[in-house]
Amino acid sequence: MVKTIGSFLLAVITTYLLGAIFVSQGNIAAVVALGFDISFAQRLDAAVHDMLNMTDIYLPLVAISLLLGLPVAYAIVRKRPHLGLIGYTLAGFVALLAIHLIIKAVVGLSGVAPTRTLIGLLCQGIAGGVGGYLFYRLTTKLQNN
Amino acid sequence: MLFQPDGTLLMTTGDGFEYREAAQDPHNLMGKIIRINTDGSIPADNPFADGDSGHPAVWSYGHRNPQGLDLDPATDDVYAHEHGAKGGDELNLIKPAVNYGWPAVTKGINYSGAYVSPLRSAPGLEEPLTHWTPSIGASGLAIYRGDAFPQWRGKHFIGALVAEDVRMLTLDAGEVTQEEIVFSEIAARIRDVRVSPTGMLYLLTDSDQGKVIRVTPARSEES
Repeated sequence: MVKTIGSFLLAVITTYLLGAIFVSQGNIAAVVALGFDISFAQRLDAAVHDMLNMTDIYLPLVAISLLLGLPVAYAIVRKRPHLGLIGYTLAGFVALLAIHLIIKAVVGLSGVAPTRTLIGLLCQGIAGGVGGYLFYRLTTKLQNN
Repeated sequence: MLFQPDGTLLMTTGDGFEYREAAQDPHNLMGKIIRINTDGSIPADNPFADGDSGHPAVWSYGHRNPQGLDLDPATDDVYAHEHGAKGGDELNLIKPAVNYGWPAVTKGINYSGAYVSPLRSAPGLEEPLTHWTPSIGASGLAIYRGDAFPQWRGKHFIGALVAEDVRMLTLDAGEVTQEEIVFSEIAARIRDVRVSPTGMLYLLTDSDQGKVIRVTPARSEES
């Protein structure tokens, strides 16, 4: 159980960090599209800044998303063990996608600006998918050991 | 909104939150200060009056969420302040065709904690006269040129919704040289600040039991 919780926390942190990087680069892409130059150093600085400063709202959102999404995958994979990899990856992808769509539907505003675009929204899903994949790999490895 | 001595009307518009990049598009009316005649027509001396490089009504652009607009009758200078997102409230001297930066340049960040933009300044974009981080929730702007409080002449009064006070700014040669916090004893969100024709200062508080407060000199009554 403790190892499962540890795997979950690692999945959350990974999703958070990757998602924050996607948010950073999405915001920068919007500024570049306005005709402004952003250097590589500024991109790097923004990524580090955002990874360190999105913990108040975005990190809990990621945790809640995966907390709701991964158990669904667990329930399915118990009956269809061969779907483990795709099940957890898809669950993470859908969970992150869903949380942003729900926020938009309920509040009427985007939780993070890049999700205003399809590519930005899909990138959040990818971050969740990586988290789900990592959770699957870590828990499978634990079971095999 | 502000009527100018030349008979034109200045109006501010917000960026619409979800459409913030529109503030940088001179052809779009979001995130702008626009200038029209009182009959709705476009003044011929507007910076984009021909419509080629911007909307004919646009006076200045790159604004996020203007909350105060006033004219200094001694100089005819127009000032506006606006809310940043998380931090980055700004006071600006408004000039025609000038780009005030949002969202490419801002001193604030997104509510999520992420940068809006990594740029804090950029060539060709106007810097604010002053800015507030964390946000004070600037609301209402009055430039005092009355007689009731001679010591206040030329001061800029800005209400603060979040800070629950009023900021009294001193400007000298186009720069903010002093900022004093006044009326904090009211302990209420200040929605608006106005100066009456007789020089009294009026404050509007923001709550279910909101009040209009008149500030008068000691032992003096407004006639």
